[in-house]
Amino acid sequence: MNREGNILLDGKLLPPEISDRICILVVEDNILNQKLTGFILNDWGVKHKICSNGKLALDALQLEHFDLILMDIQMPEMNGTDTTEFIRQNLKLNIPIIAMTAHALPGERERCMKSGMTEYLTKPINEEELHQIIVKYLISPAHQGAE
Amino acid sequence: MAFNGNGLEKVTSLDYLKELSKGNSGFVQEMIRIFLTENPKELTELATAIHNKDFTAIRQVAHRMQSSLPFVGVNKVIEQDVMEIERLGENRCDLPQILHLFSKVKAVCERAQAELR
Repeated sequence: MNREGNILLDGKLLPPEISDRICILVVEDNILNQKLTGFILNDWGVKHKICSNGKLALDALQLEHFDLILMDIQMPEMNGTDTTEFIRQNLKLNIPIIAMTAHALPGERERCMKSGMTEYLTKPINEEELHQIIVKYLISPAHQGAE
Repeated sequence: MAFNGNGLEKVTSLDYLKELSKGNSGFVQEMIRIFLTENPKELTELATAIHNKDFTAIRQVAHRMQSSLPFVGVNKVIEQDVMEIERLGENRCDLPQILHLFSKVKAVCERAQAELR
């Protein structure tokens, strides 16, 4: 946790009513990446849930509300692109889905975007880049008050 | 340049983990503990996949392994080899080359495990 358990935005602490209303779904099968992402989000005081494959993520999405999804691509059971297509086409959710992958095989990025993902982050997660994503999609004025 | 107890150049570096941890040594130790648990399992899974000529499993395990390597700095030594194993697995070809690359990856990972224990 940082001083107040809040996210720093441009060097300023955000009021808890903003960081408290954010909940992120992390879909990732690698335990080290799960731990790292959880460590960073905990440090920012951001609520989150971790699922180790796409099927578990779909279950979670039907039970709980999330504001953003961090999605690994290659996972057992159900991969990231299939999960994203299901979220867009069947669950009809417009939630930002950020792909996370190590060095991509050729064409992977295109497959991610085609499946309905919003943006692309390279693993291992860079704290600054993740912060920019959260600010862009969840905290910037354009998204304030958005569902 | 850092060296291990045998005078060999170290294959691991904790610089990245330490930077991420912001001084939380418990987090660094937890990540090392997980690496030491997961990495031997991944090597065994990859060996089994190669033995069974299971290209899908070769690709999947190589990909998973690739994600773990940067946390202890071993990616600088064998990342290209693991990526190549994943690519060959994807293309379902050249098992002898996969086996050759795996020998190197396994040796380096075992050195990394010894350094981290």
